[in-house]
Amino acid sequence: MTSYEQLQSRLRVQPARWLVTGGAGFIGSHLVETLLAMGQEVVMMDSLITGRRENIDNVLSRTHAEARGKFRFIKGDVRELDDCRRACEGTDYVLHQAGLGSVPRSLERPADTHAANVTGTLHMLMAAREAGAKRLTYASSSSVYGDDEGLPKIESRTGQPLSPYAASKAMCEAYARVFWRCYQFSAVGLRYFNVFGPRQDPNGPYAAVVPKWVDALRQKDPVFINGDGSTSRDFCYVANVVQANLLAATSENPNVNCQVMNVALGGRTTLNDLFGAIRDGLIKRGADIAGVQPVYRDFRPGDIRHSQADISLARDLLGYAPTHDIYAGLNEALEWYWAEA
Amino acid sequence: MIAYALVQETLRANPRRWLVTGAAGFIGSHVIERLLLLGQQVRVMDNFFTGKSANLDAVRSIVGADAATRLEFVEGDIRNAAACASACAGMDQVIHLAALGSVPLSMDKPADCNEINVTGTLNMMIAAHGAGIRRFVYASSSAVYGDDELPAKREDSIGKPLSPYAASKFINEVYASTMLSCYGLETVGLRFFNVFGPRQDPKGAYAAVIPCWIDAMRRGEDVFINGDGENTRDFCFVRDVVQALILASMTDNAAAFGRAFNVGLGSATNLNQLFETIRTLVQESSGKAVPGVIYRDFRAGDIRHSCADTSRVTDVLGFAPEYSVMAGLSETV
Repeated sequence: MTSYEQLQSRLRVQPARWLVTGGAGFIGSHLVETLLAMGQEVVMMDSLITGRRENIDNVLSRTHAEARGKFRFIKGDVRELDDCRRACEGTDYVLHQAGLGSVPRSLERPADTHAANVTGTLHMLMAAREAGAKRLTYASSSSVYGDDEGLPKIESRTGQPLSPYAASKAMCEAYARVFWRCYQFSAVGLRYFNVFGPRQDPNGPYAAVVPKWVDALRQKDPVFINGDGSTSRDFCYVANVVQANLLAATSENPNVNCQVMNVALGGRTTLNDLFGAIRDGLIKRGADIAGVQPVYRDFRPGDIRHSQADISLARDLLGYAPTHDIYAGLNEALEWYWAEA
Repeated sequence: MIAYALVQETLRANPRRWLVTGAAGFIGSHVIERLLLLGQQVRVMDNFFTGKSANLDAVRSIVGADAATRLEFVEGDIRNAAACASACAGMDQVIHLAALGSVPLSMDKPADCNEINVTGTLNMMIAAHGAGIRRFVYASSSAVYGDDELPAKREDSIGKPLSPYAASKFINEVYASTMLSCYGLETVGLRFFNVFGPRQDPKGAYAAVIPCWIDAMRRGEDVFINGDGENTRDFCFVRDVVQALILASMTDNAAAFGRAFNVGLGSATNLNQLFETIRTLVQESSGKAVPGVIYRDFRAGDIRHSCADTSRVTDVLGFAPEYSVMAGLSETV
């Protein structure tokens, strides 16, 4: 049995109380869905500023009635300390996903990104600690590697952040360290690498590449690649991220107490290859887009050229073992997007 | 000496308009004193959270009525982005010193520390950039060295922060680097070591050792050392800190931008030596004998040795301190 399988058994037998912030967002909604399916008590807090009610509805519609009874939604904003305190009451584990994503958004509005990501995370650390939560597990980001050019990325070597978004995530990690040092409160950071999957938002100026391209190909709109397509990423299906979160939150390994860990597949896919895989996946499902090619434009400021994770720390400390590679993940994601038409 | 002398001449010949936040505080009041004496236009923003209007009065009386007309005061709080924007309007230079300076207060109230030190500093950087100001000089701290164990601190070797205050200063440096790389704002941070001088507050939650001891000795109160007195610090006279701030504001050396530099003398003074020096000076000035120091237990968390490696601030900014610890103390007692 893998660590994750063992954990799932344990949690089913002895359910815990969980708070997911940003639970109406993409990753948060998957955390909520998985936890409910495992019979856990789940409180979700979301401001619905970027999170969407449709995601909540979608999760609840896929959840058995009995499990739905263990779900509670609190409308709240991590920028308000009192909202954080209310949400943390009685919680064992906090999975903190609330924040403002997107590198380009942060370049345009650095103060907003700071308030949501830095101040918001500090508030959650304070509230979780006051409430006696066992641990806060938060979303960090591969963007903290910044201008460090080493590949694959190992946790101990980061460069200078290249955007206010990246800086904000580096700051979450700094505050987490202080909370361990000063208050012995455990906060674990997971550096997400290009997560994708069902419910990721295709709309808006800050949409991520997978949903955006799926949407564009289906509408027969041009697909833009910023650069020449050789830009590579470690795309990671959301189910792997859920696994990492649950393992990190509950790990009794003392080396996990004040840790940051890469969460990824450990693979490397170019944008050109990703485009091909999405296009071919949609063609298999009946889309009439044979021979479509992307449109290349300028590189986007703040974007890193290559990114690939070394996931040995999460493997060793948590027993993290990704269940979906990029193709298995894309298969499920495309299935979902196709059905949502 | 040369770089500073040249810069001061340049400034006298071509005065600029300076915004100094936190200038009703200890270090800030010395910065504006020098700028006014150099014929500069100076706007001060302070909310008197720790700063004192008495410091501004002292400056006005030192620089004289004429220079004082070039001092404009704006009451404002850096937590308010609009106040930052309006303070920056029409300015050429920003020296940002406003902060919550207390380590213990930051441990009790990390959200306040974040709001003032991090959000406030980000507000100021965004406002400066928005106002078309090119150079942004700000106060960082030797606290960013955290649990690093090397006694001679070198800029690129920092440890993990020991308090929310230390984290906030580290975070300022991260944002400063990002503001340069993303927006071209020429940010320069200065990691102050143990600054001392006239107008430093002897009271308060985290009163520094020098004003605290001078005050106690003058009042005939006991003076304590936590430990054996062999702890060392890099004490740096405030007028040398002002030099560093002005050099950082005026340098053309792009190697300075987006980075932080130690500001200290680069020498280590232990508390026993410090005590004897201050005691001698106080006795001379008051004519009365000052009793010996009382030793107590070491205080948890106190760092044993701390001294700045000043090679970078010397090479890149041309920093050359003019005051030894003794000379600085003579001006202070």
